Amino acid sequence: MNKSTIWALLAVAVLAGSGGYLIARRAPASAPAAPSRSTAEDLGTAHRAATGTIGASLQASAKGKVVTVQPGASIQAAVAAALPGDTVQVLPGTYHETVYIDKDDVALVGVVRGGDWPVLDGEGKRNDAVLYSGNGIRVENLKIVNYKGNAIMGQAGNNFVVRHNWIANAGVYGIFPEFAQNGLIEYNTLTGIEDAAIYVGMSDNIHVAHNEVFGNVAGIEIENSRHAIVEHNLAYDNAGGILAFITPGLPIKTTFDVIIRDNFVIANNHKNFGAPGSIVSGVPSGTGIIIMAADDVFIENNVIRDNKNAGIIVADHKSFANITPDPESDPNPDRVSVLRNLFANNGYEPIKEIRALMVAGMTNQGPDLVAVGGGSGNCVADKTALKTLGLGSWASGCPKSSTAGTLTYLLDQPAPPRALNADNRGKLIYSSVCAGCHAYNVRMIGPPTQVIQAMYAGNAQGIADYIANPVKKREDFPAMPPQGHLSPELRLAVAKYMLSVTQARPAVTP
Amino acid sequence: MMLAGAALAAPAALAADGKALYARCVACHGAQGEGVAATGGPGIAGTEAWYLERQLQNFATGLRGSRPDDTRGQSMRAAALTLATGAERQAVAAHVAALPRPRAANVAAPTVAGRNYFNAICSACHGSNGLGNEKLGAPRIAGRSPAFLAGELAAFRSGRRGAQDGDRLGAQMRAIVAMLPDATTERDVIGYAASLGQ
Repeated sequence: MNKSTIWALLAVAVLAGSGGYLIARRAPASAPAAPSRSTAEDLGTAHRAATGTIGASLQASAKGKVVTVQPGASIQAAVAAALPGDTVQVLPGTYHETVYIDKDDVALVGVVRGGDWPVLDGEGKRNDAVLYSGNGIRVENLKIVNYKGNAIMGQAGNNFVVRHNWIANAGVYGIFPEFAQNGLIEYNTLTGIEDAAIYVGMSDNIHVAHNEVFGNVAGIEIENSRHAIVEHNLAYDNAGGILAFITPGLPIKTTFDVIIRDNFVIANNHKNFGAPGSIVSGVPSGTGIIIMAADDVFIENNVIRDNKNAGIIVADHKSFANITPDPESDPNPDRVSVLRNLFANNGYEPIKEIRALMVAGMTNQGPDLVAVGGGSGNCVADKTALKTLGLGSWASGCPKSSTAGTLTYLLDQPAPPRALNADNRGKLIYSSVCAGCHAYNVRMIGPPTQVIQAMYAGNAQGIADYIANPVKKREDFPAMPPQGHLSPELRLAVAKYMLSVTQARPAVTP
Repeated sequence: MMLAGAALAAPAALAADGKALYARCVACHGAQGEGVAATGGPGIAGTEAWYLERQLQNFATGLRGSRPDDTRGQSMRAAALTLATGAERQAVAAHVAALPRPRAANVAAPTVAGRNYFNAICSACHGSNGLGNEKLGAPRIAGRSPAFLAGELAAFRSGRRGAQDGDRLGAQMRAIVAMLPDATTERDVIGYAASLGQ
């Protein structure tokens, strides 16, 4: 094809584009009322799913009607009126509320017009913007600001899509699927979150792609989750960029099969502003990627530069701040593969623990990659190219040189909903709601479950009443979000379960 | 005017009262509330008034100091019963709370395990800085002497303290002490608490 042909094609494309633009501009003038369903979906919903590898297993079906929410009206009222299959479409404007979706197959979709977004503004006093416990939920095109708890939290909701949301200063977690299977988090931008901006908790088959996370304590965290891919994200100016953890004391005890690839992990040097004493407050500022106790992790084709403490830290439980052991979890990171990545200018101002390792290793270079504590079967593809510390037991060269063969861990078919019945509902709610912040014997966000058991011994009703309308008692802990959307019966069921949770005791130190 | 005058005079009268009443505490707790090693009376200077008041009340009602194996507690219960009214307990607590709080001496550098367990467990009620939390009934433990903290934890662990029916906060603390897996960890946590606020 010669040059003039290319120009000709471009000209056609420009004409077609401007024609489309004119039509789009003209349409509202003739039809100022409710936008059509296609308008609600055209911001990268239907066509992306249709062309991507992430198939129909995730989509809210959008088979039903479209309920439109005008500024001044209540989104929650529209959600309450919606039936499975419906789309709740939110027009630009400012909304002050918490939206709770407790039914399946609902799409909550904002409409962005002329740069105006539908804004959920918590005004610094509300805890959560969007909570969902249904399956097949889609949350899209919302701007969420000034909440104290979570921007978007999923509670045992499978087959979800959270996409194209703009989240700022929205509390402890930004996008937080808890105890979920099969879900997609993409094209979101998040900043100002006090723990993890994108926090995948106790979930399976999750895809996190094309998000921008900056100015948070942790950018993206895969925690006690299996089969997750984190790719094509931009993580910069957080205290820690991308994390794969096993946090002790949670109902799910493992993290494995995690792929972290094709991300930009740049200058994650933000001051750590996590609550003092919490686990996340132990994330050393200046760290690009942290693998704590997770197994079978691949780190490939990332650009990791200008992280002042270290490019990548691979640590066991013993070596990480504010962690106490969980005898039911393996504390060591095993079979971590650091494949080819671009490393530049990491470790120029390391924390004192890493400086001590540098002294011991007789080097004055801060690390691209540092391993502390136990672990086996770990490997690095190009050891000699990197500044490394503590890799004594690591193999040079990895058994698997690329993750290219694994396109996604998302499922071909929708995951079945988690069964909820009288026998398991307390446990299910504990796992999908409480365990987001309360671990058994360590401090995540709230006090440990064991401390709550001591405080409320024999008094499940006391917990059930408190969680409906919590009162802040601890100045150095974030406020507990009210759980009044759970019925009194469910609150009592989960309270009883919380009082019954046990875990093996740690081995006695000799 | 009379009313205003009375209101202004009241705190001074209270303090004077508390000081006089404190005379009967000196033999065991020291003139400045610094503690007397020979009698085993712990340092109490600068402890929160609300906490002292509750303990005096607990000794008076027998929630503390009524177990046969708690000889020190029995002595303290006898002393607490010499305070006839809630107002007297309040006054003496206010006096002790106003005494200058000594710093723990020669505290060793804390261990990593001490910090981790303190943050994981103790911080839920005593705060990550160890400064205490009145809403939860948890006193300041930052900067307390390791010997004092070890004595209290041992008392909770054995049941000399906190095991009486009706002692809700005591029972809570007993359950939480049991979360510390072993003696080494307990020493580490005590060392970390003692090192706070130094």
